[in-house]
Amino acid sequence: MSVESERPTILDVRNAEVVYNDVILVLSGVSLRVAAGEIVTLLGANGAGKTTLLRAITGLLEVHRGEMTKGSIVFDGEPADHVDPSKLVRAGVAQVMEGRRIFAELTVEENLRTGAHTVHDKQAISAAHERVMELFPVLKPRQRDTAGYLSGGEQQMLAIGRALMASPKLLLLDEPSLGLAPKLVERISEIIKTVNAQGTSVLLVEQNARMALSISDRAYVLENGRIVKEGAAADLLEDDDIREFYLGVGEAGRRSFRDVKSYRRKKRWNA
Amino acid sequence: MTTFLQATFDGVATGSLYALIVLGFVVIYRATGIINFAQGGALLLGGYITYNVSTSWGGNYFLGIIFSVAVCAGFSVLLQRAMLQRIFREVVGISAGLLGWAALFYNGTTHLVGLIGGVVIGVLAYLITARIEARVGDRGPSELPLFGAIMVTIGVLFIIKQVAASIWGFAELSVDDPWELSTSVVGDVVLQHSKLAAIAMAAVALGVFFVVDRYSRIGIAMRATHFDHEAAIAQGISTKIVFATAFAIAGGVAALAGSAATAGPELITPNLDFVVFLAFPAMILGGLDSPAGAVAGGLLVGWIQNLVKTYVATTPAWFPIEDLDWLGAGFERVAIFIVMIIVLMVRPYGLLGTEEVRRV
Repeated sequence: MSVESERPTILDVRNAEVVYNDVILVLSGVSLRVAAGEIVTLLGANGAGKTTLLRAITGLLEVHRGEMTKGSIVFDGEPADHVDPSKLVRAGVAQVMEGRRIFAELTVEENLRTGAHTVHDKQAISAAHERVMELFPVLKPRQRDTAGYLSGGEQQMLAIGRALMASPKLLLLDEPSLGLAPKLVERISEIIKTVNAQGTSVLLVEQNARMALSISDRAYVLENGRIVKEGAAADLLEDDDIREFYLGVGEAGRRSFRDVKSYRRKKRWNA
Repeated sequence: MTTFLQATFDGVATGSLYALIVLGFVVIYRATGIINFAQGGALLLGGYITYNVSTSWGGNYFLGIIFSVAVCAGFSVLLQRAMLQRIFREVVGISAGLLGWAALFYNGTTHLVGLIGGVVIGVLAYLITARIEARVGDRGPSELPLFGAIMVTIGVLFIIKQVAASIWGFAELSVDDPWELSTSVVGDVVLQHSKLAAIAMAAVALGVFFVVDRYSRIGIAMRATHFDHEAAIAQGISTKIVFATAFAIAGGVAALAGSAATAGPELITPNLDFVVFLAFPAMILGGLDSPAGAVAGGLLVGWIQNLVKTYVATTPAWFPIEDLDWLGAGFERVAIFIVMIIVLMVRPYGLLGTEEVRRV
């Protein structure tokens, strides 16, 4: 396989099974690996369990009355399932939640300070702050503004900036392109590449498969709580199923008979 | 004019105590969604501990305040930790009921009526708590069933009150403070030194709180937790520490209020906890989740209370109705609720509360 997989593993999810409210099975037997320095994309339709997988990694399942009933998660060599979320942040996992989830009533500056909550070294905080300001110059003049008054794109940048304040080893991004104009999506993808080049591994959850695959090393496809496909991002970009279901590209003239075939494929995936 | 200024000064003094108590309410509500009536218990304990330290344990008033603030902050944190345990909530329900029995018994009803009444109250309290706990949908960010938790805080208040009564008795006790009955007169307004001290202590405590809340790591964490507790957890903020801090602050300011409320000519009895039920409308008035609103609401309620009290007793000449005695003694307490209702009609979220209080 690709060279990336020979690097040391930073995140290793094995056979994860997640149940909400003791009865609703959302993930079963999900295994996923992120190597140090990689960008890995997780694709999947709404309700496939992508966010749940992120919650399992960051320890936020409890908030939603979910529990990881089987499997294991190892982050940076340490067991990471059933661990206090604040410990994980301290260990180097940072998450940008779906829908930005900035603290709208706090100022931009205060939002960034919450991101550095686990960091006690003042120099490290100001270094992280400087880096965030370099990545997101738009935030610089707006530091004293109430975060809720920022535009959608600025809010997303603030959300990413906030996560970077902890100088994480692994950055989890849940749909960072959600609701953004194409230009901003491009900007976000550049930022992800820059952050990655600065040494942070990235696990990217996206609906915008084209953008995600174009910047990723590898990708997984999650459907109905199972991984149905994995491989190098470049290979998946060429994959017929991915092209049809996630990129919306088909070959000319496929309409009449291909529809039937794609239906069958879908059945196969879901089985 | 003198009457007005006098009532205003007294009002500010009462109001600053309310402000402290309401601040405790607000801080806990903001962090956990619970309205913690056990604040009244901390107020009571704070007052009595200061009394003991200043009179019988060889300390002085200020040592008493420091000690009582520390004890009540710790007690408040313990209460928060204990409330997470189901067994604690059940025990509180049953003991509150038994104390209800005891109270009825001592109030002169026959033993049998008291016993039946107490058992009924106990069973009801238990059933309500258990019934509410069975519902899954109403858990707050602190993983507590909200309504059940509020019931439990009332139970705790009830128990502390009885315990305080059994330790210190119902007699009116006088704290040994440095001001005693001394006063200064400015213009024609009499400034009671103990009241000036209460205002000063409240101002310092509130000032420290606002600086901490605005600029410190834990202050920002507390506010972040209030607005989106899941996102706060995702930043590595420990909600356990946030909740503990909120309860510690609340216990501390309640103890300070309890100590200040019993200084000078004021006396301490187990009925002092009644103040929390007057502070509660101040909280609603100021806005449930706003510390600034707590101060505004507290001062406003204190002021209105004293104005109404003064003017009902001595109706001014220009007032169209000659005699207001028919309003009855203690009407100032009713007036607070009237003002609260009027304010709520105009601003349903209180004077300074967040317009839309999101709950996750």
